[in-house]
Formats: sequence, structure tokens, C-alpha cells
Amino acid sequence: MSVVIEARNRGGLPLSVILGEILPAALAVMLLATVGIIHVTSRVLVVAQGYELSRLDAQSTDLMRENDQLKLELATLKGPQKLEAVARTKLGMVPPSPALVFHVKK
Amino acid sequence: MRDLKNHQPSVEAPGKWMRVRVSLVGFVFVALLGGMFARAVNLQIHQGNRLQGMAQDQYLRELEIPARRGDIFDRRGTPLAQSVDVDSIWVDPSMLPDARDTAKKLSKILNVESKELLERMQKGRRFVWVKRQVTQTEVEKVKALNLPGFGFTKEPRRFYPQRELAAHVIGLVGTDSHGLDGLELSFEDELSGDKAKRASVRDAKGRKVLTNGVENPLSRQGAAVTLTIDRQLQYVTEKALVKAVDDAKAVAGMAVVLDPKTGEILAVANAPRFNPNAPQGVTADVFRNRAVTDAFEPGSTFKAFVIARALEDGVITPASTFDCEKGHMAIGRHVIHDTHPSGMLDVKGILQVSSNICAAKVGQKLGRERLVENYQQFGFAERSGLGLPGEAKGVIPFPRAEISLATQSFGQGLTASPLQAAAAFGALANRGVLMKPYLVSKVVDSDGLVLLDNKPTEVRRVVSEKTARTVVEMLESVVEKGGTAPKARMDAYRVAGKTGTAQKADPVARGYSDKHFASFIGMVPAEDPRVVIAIFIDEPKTDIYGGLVAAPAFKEIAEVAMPHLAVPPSRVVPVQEVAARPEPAPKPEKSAVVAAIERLDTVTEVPAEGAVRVPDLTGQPGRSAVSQALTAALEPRLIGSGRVVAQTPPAGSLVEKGARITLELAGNLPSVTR
Repeated sequence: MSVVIEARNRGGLPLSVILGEILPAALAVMLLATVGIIHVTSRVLVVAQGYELSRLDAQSTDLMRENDQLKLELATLKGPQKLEAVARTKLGMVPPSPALVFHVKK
Repeated sequence: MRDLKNHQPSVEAPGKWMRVRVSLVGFVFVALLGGMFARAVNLQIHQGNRLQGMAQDQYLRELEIPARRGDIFDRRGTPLAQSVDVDSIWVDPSMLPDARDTAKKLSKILNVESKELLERMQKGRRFVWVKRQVTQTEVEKVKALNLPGFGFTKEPRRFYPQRELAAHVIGLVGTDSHGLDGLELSFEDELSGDKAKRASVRDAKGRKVLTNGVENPLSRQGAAVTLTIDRQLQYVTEKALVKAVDDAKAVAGMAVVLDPKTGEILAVANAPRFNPNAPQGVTADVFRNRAVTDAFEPGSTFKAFVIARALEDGVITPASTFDCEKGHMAIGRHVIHDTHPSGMLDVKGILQVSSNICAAKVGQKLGRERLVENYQQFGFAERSGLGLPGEAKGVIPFPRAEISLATQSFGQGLTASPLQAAAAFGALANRGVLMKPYLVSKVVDSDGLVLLDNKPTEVRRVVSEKTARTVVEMLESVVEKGGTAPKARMDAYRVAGKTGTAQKADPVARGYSDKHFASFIGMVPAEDPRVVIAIFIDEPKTDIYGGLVAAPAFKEIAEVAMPHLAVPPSRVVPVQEVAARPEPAPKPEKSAVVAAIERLDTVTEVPAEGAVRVPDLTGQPGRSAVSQALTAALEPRLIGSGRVVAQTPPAGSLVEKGARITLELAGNLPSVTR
């Protein structure tokens, strides 16, 4: 290799000229490669985030469904028919007679 | 040996050869680039659209995102209708090893006809619904079969957590979440929300890749509808109505509870009831919201409106007297009867014993035009615009014949719905002003935008305040001894009301049948009515009179409604006996936290020197409470008279000797038997 360079040098082209011609091309290639790598990396990251978002979306939907079910269960358990049954049978409560209801004057 | 030193390479020959080679390589590259460019042009421009479509078919899927149906709440925010996602089962029949056997197995698990299921599977499609909106148990049983080709999809299903409560008002939805009846149908557009379609990227395995972000699902949710219905009053009303219908062995019953000052409907009940969570097998007759959709001859409750108009127009005065003809009065070839034959009656007496004959005479004095116009003023023969499907209008025909004038004066020969009757009584209760009845107070969409905000609306003044008060006072006599509805009388509250016992028209024989509508419409407390309660019992068998059949239901509802609405009693009621003490029930299990706190309290509270424990003085008469407080070295301070209803500081707390204890007393109650 050194023989070839020496030969070229001997032909009259200095090293700085050769580097001056190759360097821009090399830099351009490097720039393109860098941009390409960044682009590919970003796409990979976007897709990975897409999967993550999809997973979180599914999780959120599941939690919302569970929340809906719990709200429904709560509303069912708080139904007056159910409450009355529990108050009468389990707690032994009875409605107060009107005379035993005291009204607090505002 | 070759002289390498003197061997000089030819300068000319390699330069030429190099140029040829470079040219050749250059040509090859240019040709390749040209070919690639031509191919790119072909793919991008000529075949671009077709290839783009093919690609999108592979990685894009259009997803239909169903909107969550809006909830329906009562006036206090209790959910009456909610949507929850449940599983639906589908199958690809081409993947089934034996469709007949599978259909049989599924039939047992899902309670579906195996023949019907097999027919669907044999139609050769790749997607067949097996059963939609199933329970979790059913899903697990189907999964346990371990058969290929089955899929499970989430679908929203409507649930009604309060079961039968207000079912006729709320209505119900079909399998595809479309309203079929009631408010679910009337507010379909508001409740259903916006269904969305979104293109979603799928990878090679069919997994969803959300590269464009997600949308907040709540933004597509349907609007929330808030009703004026009060769950507690609705429950009590339905319970009382069902009991009244059962006791009377009646065909059906209707009840309306409304606030006369605002027109808000607090409860609408119908019997028989149905569970909208399982509507299969329920007939259309049971689905009907009779209180709103049915118009029928209401009967004697309408006498109150005739008397009110006659008093208002000065046709009669409260002191006017009428001869009630001893219970029989002939008009042409017709004879009008009174259930309770009477002689001379004043206006109050006419209402108290519900004399048809005297009411007919008041009607005659009032005249045809004024009678009809009066009923129209009270809101009859016009829809209130409640928002429920099929609202009845009712008919007030012009009474050309003398007998029609007479019968219309006591509520026969015209039709009205229970809702109209309750609203009209509301006008008397609201000092003569008719309020527009309404059921939906607010509709708010998912962004918080108020789509509908109903406020109390005054329709018109029907009679003067003085006339309304006079009529209400007269109606109080109806529930007193000698009236037609003593069973509606309440000890603590003044009640005003009117009974009705109407004969039902026979559409075939074109006359009246031996079937009846028994009714009672009342207001409580009479001095400043807070609720109007209308009860209608269709075809009672055990008894036909409104005072016997409908009035007890009124009382049952009113007894709960008054404390619930914090209405102070009209009069002080002596306590006869303490409400029956229940059987000692097993103590509810305490949570570990509660038990720990209680232990902590009992262990740490040791009276320090100079400190005393406050005794429990609640329920004690004032004198005894003072005595006990002084004994405990406390300085009592009394507020009010009667028995101790509250004390500060509370019983059991530790205070310094000589500290002041405030005792609140209320009600001059006689001694209580415990």
C-alpha cells in the first residue's frame, strides 16, 4: 500500500490533495449512515412504543371494565331492597314510628 | 536475473486499459441504476395504488370502537342503568370436528336450542354467533370444552342494578344496545354516544401496534341522564303499590308521587313489575308504563276540580248547600246514584262523602263551557311533554247531553292519565299554580356540556290561592271520620285527598262494565303540601272503593316520604309505645381495625384524678337528667323541654369535675314503655 501511495506521490499528487478529495465523500457517507441509523432507530423505538402503548391500552380497558363491574356490584348491593333485607334480618332494624322521628329546626 | 530496477512500466498502456475498465464499470452501474429507476417508477407510479392497498390489507385493520352507553341516575346520583362489557361467544364452524355434537354440548351449557345452533353453524360462514352477552360461568364452561374455532369478544351489556325499581320509566335496551322502551328509547341519541372507526396497525402476528396514539374512550361515552326520581321514594311507592294490588287481587296498579311546588316527579310506579335485566318472557302488557300511557275515566277525584272552579267563579260559596236527593237522581232516562245517600250537604260535605248527585248539580250550575275549559286549565287533554314514549293525552269531550254534563262533573265520560291527575292535584296543592311535571332534570355529555337542564316551569295559574287553600281544607275532611278515606289519615301530618271509584267502560257493549278503577289522590302535609301521591288500582276484586283499596297505599308511602323529605310534623303525636324491639340479632362481625380501636379505647381511658365520666342522659326526662348530671358533678345546661335527645359532651367522655354539660330536649313525650 505504502508502495502505491509512494508511487502516486511520485506521480506528483500530494497526500493532502488526495485526502481533500476523499474526505468530503467519506463525510457524506458517514452523515448518510448516521441519518440512516437514527431513522431506523427512531422507527424501532416508535414501533416498540406502539407495542407498549397497545399493551397499556389493553390494560386500561381491562381496568375500566373491572371498574365498571365493581361499580355495578356496589350499586346492586346498595339497592334498597337488599339494604332493607339486611337491615331487617341481619341487623334487626325496624322503621321508626313517626312519633320517634325528631326534626331538628334550622 | 531480470533487472527490476531498470524495468519501467509502460505509462500509456495501463492508462488506456484503466479508462476502458472504468467506463465499463460506469456503464454497468448506470445501466443498473437506470433499471432500478425504471422499476421504481413502475412500482411507485404505475402500480403504486394497488400495492399500497395490498400492503394496508396486511398491516392495517379497521377497528370499530363501540361507544360506552351513558348511565342513568336518580336525583341523588344513584345509578339506575349502567353498561358493562361482557363476553359474547362466536365460532368458526369450519374448524369444528363435529358440528352436531358441538351444538348438543353447547345447548346444555348455554340453554340454546341445539337445532337452531346447528342450523346457524351449517350455513357455511366462517363466523357465527353462538350466544351473545353471556355470563362468566358460561364462558368458562365453553372454554372447558376445549374445542377449536371458538372466540370470545367483549360487548357492552346494559345492567339495571336496582332491578325492578323504576323499570317502566327507564325502559330497556336490545342486544345491540339500542333503546327499546322508556327513557332508554326517548334519549337514545344522547345515551348512545359516538361509535368510532379507527385504522390500527397490526404486526405479522396480528398484534395491535398503536403507533398513532390512543383516544380517550370516555370522550366517546354517551351522555349521563339524571332523573328527578328519588330511589328511596320509588322503592317505597312500588312496594306499597304491589301490596295494594295483591291485597285487592287487582289486575294492575299505578302510582305517581310528585313535588307540587316544582313539578318534579319523585316516583312513578306500575304493577305488575318486571326485571329489565331478564326481560325474556315478559308480555308487552307488563312492559307498559300505565301511569303515563293509559288514559281512563278517573272518577270522583275530579270533583275537587269542579268544586274549585265553581268556588273560583263565584257560582257557589263554601256555605252553599245542595240537596243530594237521598242517593237517586233521574236525568232523562238515566239515574245517578250515590254510594252514601245523603240529604242536604254543604260543599265540604259533597267532597267528604263524594256525592255524585251534588257534584252533578255543581256542574250544572257551572255550565258546559266552563266545565270543559276548567279541565283543560288543569292540564287535561294535553300532553305534559314528559319525554316518555306513548304519553297519553286523554279526552275531554264537550258534554252536549245533560247526562254527559252530570257524569263529567264526577269524573266519568272523560279520560285522563294518572300523571295528569297527579299534576292537576299538584296545582291545588301549589296554591292554584299548575307546574309542568318533569322526569329528567339534567342531561350532561362526556365533556361536561349540559345538553338539557330542566327547571321548575309554571304552566299557568288555574285558580286563586284563596280558592286552592279552601278546596285543600275541604279535602282534609275526606280522611277524617265520616269521610270516604279515613285509612289515609296520618297521626303526625295533616292529609288532604280525594277518593275515586270509577266504573270502567266496556268497549264491546258500549256502556259500563262491572269493573272498576279505585283511586286515591292526596297531598301531605295539607297546610303546605310537599308531595302529591296518586294511587290507581285497576279492577280490584276484594273491594272496589278507593278509600279502602288505594288509601292505605297512600298512607304507607306518605309515612316514609315525610321523614325522608325532612318535613316537620303537623301536630305532636304522643308516643304510644316504642317501636317493637327486634329480636336480638347476632352482632355483626367487627373488622380487625374496629376491634383494635375499641380495645384501645377501653384500655387507655382511665379517669384521671379530678375527672369524671359523662353519663348517658339521652331519653331521660329533663328533671331526671339534671339530677343525674349534678350527681356526676357536672353543671347541666338545658335547651328546650321534654326528653334529652342530644348531649354535649357525649356519653362516656372524660371531663373535669364541674364541667358544663349541654342537654338538648325535645317533645313533651309521656313516659315510654320499654
